[in-house]
Amino acid sequence: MIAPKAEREILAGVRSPLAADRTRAFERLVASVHRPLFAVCESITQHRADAEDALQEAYVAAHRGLAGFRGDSRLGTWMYRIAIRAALRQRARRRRRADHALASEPIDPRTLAGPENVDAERVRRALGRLSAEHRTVLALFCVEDHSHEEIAEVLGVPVGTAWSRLHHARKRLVAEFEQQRDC
Amino acid sequence: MTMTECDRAQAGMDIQHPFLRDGLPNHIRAHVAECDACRLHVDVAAACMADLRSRAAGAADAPQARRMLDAALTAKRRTRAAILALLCFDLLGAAACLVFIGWSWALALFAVTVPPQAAALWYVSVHHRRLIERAAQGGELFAVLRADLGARIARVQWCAPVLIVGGVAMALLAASELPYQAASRNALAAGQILFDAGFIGLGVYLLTRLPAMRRESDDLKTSGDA
Ligand SMILES: [Zn+2]
Repeated sequence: MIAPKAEREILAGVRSPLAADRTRAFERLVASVHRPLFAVCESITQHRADAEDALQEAYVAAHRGLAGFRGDSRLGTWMYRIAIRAALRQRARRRRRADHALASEPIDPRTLAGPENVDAERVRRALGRLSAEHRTVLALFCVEDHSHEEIAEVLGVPVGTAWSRLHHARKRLVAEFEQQRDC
Repeated sequence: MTMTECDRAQAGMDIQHPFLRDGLPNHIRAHVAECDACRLHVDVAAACMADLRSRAAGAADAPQARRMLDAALTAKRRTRAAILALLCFDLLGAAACLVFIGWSWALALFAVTVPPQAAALWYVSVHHRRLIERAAQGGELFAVLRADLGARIARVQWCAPVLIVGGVAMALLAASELPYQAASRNALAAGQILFDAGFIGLGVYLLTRLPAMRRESDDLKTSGDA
């Protein structure tokens, strides 16, 4: 999430009468949320190019909506919400086309620094078999150190729901992982 | 329902810090150290976290806002212009169809409103010699004429709805692609071009068919006069 001070500066920037200030503030906003948003979008879409498309769509939507941003939620939360919606739309589009030929590119296993006794590639496959809802909640918990409250706000659900969704997602992940092992 | 030690540990993992082994409280850590099932939970969660964080690390640099917005707006304008052109084209095709059908209906209306003999004579004089032949063979001229007209209308009637529905579908399809066209969308674009080609073919057919029919009528009129 964006630090409160940076958030105040960005919001001041986007409300500036000078176009250059507005662009600079927007650029700063994008730079500060890009990597975690990309990870969440990629884990929802399971496709790198789709995640990039979704993010671009989200940024354009955010740029359009920033002027009307009233600060009812944190700026980061708002960006997450827009990006998740865009990623879900992108995923639905991909499904409509039933274009599964373009699977997610395999990641270099050396970049995974998980526990040595667990096969990282198998975890990745198990993750890919979860529902978008479960992948979303796991990604939100994993990518940045969000609290349950922040994640509930991003998802627009009560804290208890966010917690139980995480609980089920984790159980499902382990079940899928074990199934992968049996295969 | 009583919770087992494992349930308690796993619920604790969710509440405390779900993915970091080091963030777990001591009593959960002690249980995890002894329990294979819970250790698997922690290990899979940690691997999942590593995977997701590596995705974030593997992200391309943040796009240049100004360039991205410019590109998005240009792409949007271009797509909008393309959709508009497509729609105009489809409407033109539909209009041609309607004119053609209207012409056929006008003929039919004329045939049923004016005295049968006069209509039949006029229609036969501008249309097929075949009809005259069939009538000469003892057929009911007016019935043959009506059947022929009906067949004609039935043949072209489907064109207009296809053109209109097709045009709207294409516009919606193109709109659903807004605002970006990534490389993987090329197959879809090719499909749209093919579909477009279908419209072109239909339009050309209609445009070329009309003069031919007019010529045919003139020929028949001349031969009828002779
Ligand atoms: Zn246990």
